[in-house]
Amino acid sequence: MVAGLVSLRHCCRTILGEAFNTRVALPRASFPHPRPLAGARSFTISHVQQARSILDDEGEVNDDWILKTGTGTSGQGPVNIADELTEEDITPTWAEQQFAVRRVPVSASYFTGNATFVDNLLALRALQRKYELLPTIPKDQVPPVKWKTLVEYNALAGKSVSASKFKQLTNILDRLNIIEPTLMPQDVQDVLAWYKRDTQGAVSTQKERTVDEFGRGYGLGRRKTSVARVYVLEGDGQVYINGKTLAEHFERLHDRESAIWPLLVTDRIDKYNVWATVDGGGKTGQAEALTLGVARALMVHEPALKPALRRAGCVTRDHRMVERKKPGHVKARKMPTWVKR
Amino acid sequence: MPPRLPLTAVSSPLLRPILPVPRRLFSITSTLLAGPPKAKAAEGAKKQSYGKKKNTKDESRKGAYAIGERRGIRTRIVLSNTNAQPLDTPPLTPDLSNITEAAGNLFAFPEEEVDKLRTLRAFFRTQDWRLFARPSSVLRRQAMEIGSTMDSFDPVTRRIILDGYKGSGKSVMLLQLMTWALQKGWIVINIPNAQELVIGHTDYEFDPASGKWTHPSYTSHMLTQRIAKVNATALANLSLTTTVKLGRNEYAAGTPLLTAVSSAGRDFAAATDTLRFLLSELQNNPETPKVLFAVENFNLFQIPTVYRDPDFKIIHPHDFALPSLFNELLRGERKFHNGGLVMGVTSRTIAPRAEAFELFLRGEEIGPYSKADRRIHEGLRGAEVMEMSGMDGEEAASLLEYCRDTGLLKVDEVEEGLIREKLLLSSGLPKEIVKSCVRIARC
Repeated sequence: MVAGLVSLRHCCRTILGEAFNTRVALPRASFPHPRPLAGARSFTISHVQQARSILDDEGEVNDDWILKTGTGTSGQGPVNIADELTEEDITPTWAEQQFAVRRVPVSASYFTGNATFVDNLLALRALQRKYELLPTIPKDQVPPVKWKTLVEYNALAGKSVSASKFKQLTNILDRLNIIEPTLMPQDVQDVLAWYKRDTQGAVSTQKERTVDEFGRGYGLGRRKTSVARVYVLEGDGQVYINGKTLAEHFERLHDRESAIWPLLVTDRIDKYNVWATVDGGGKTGQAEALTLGVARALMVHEPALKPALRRAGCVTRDHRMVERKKPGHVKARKMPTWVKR
Repeated sequence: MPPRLPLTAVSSPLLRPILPVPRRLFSITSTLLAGPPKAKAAEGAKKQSYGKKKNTKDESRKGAYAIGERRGIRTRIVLSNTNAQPLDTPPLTPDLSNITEAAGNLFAFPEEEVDKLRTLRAFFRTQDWRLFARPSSVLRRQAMEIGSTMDSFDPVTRRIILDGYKGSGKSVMLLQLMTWALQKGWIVINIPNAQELVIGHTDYEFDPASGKWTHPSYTSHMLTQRIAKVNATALANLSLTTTVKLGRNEYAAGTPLLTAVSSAGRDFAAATDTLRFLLSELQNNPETPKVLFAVENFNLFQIPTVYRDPDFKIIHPHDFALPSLFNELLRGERKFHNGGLVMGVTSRTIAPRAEAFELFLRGEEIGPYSKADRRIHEGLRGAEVMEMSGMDGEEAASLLEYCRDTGLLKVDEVEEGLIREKLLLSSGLPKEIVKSCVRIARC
């Protein structure tokens, strides 16, 4: 989409014909912040389109001027301006006398810097507002979809959009996508289809995890540099970590609690046995890697526990790692003591 | 300044300094009374002197602690807590060992035996006695199993090495067995910490007659302060079977054994001979009661000592008289005339362990190419290894109920779910169960 400019005077002359040769006042329609002018007429994109269609017929306009209007196109019809012009309106301004041709932007978002993006965003917002009250389906039942990537979108928009801005678009798209499929309006479907990535086959669906032939659910947990490989099976509450009992492996009570926290919060301590190996990192890291591993293995047996486990903080991987040391620093942030020469 | 503590708390009488007894106050907070008004120095009395400064150290000023006071605090064993709720716990009695229903229930150590066990240094600081009104413990299955054989008429000596994870209740079980033994009139001999004999904290000497190294002062202290005191009645009733010369004195046949032990034991040079003689009397005298000989931190007897011989070679622990005597009993080479119980209790808090000892505990042989100490393995051959397991639900329930009643565990009802949770979090270890009831600040 290319934002273009068209000579407004040219357009007007085309529309109004001879009437325009009389002195016609042209109000500015392209203020960054439109301000009301007494008795002024605003020109909309439809006027431009109308003018363009006329010009096309006469072959007077170069193809370079053809512009694709944004989604924010107004539906207003043409207005016969000459009928409503007053004496005051036709008094030429200083600016008009200075410049014979005055160019105005097509899109009202022209001065935002990235008109295409803002137009798209406004259109999506309008769509979201319009269908806000339609019923939605739970997020986990929504068919997986991949939107266009930022790079693909940038190529289409012709201007680079920051990732955070693009996220605003995809957030709205995600919201529109959870509308009940049977009630999905056609215009939403069209918009979503436009934003979808071309290769939807590449959508990765999460592999459904099931218990193995021995009745074990497997889960891998990580925290800092620790890795826990956990097997959870139905049993009577025995826990073995690296072949040792819980108290033998973890001296701190807090670490022991962390390791079996998913079982404690869901009140499943006497329903399952845990057999895990854990290596790397320190004791606390190992304990928290086990939290994640046990939770994942437990969800293989009982997927419905996921919300409860999430509330207990057992589902999300804690991605924090040790901060790197920097040159000139003693540690990550510590600076050497100042010494006078 | 920390409060001064009553000096009666100093555990070892030898270490107790002779000091004026401080005034006992109800509150231990130090008083802030205004002293007598200071006499104003006469005008011009204070003269600036430019000469050599005198030693102005105030002679009357004492340090914050008296000699031995800090050690007293450090080694003090607190067996009661006035904040804890006193409970009517049934006492531990000798007949309980034959009542199957008693297993898994809680019993208090009787007052008299507590005093004797204190003398034997059988209580430890690391045990959480200070959280309860009086020392009590849950009777475990293993204790019942050993206790039931204590009454047998056969002159059989059970020889056990007790192993188990840290906090599993090994030492507390030994306490229960010692209590029973004291109640049954046995002779109880205890080495409360084998570490003291190997880390070079006590003097040593070579005894050419036996070819063994000895700990003269430790053995003397053990005989006079522990064995003679705790077993006074039993030893007084026994008379010597033979005439014996211990040190400079000769003890005629028929003399009470207590006399020989307490007087000859006082002599450092004769202490080891006296212990050897005591053991031989217990082996030979048909009137001798059953004997309980226990060693705590037994794994420390299996690691190289820090003692050196004149060639500056490290002395093997089994070259010392006390460990080798105990090993002879453990192997069954020495047998008490009327049987008894020989028990080595390992420690996992005091960590060093010998590979050969580990193999022995697992019942494995030393491989042909292994560098493990074969002497250790051979020195223990024949002893029975007993593993102290975690608590079961019933035992844990009575411990948790005790914690609740005494005010540690703030719940109204000890429910099934709570017991399961505590058992899982503590892996059944009683020490960890108590710890999980209250976050204990270590001191």
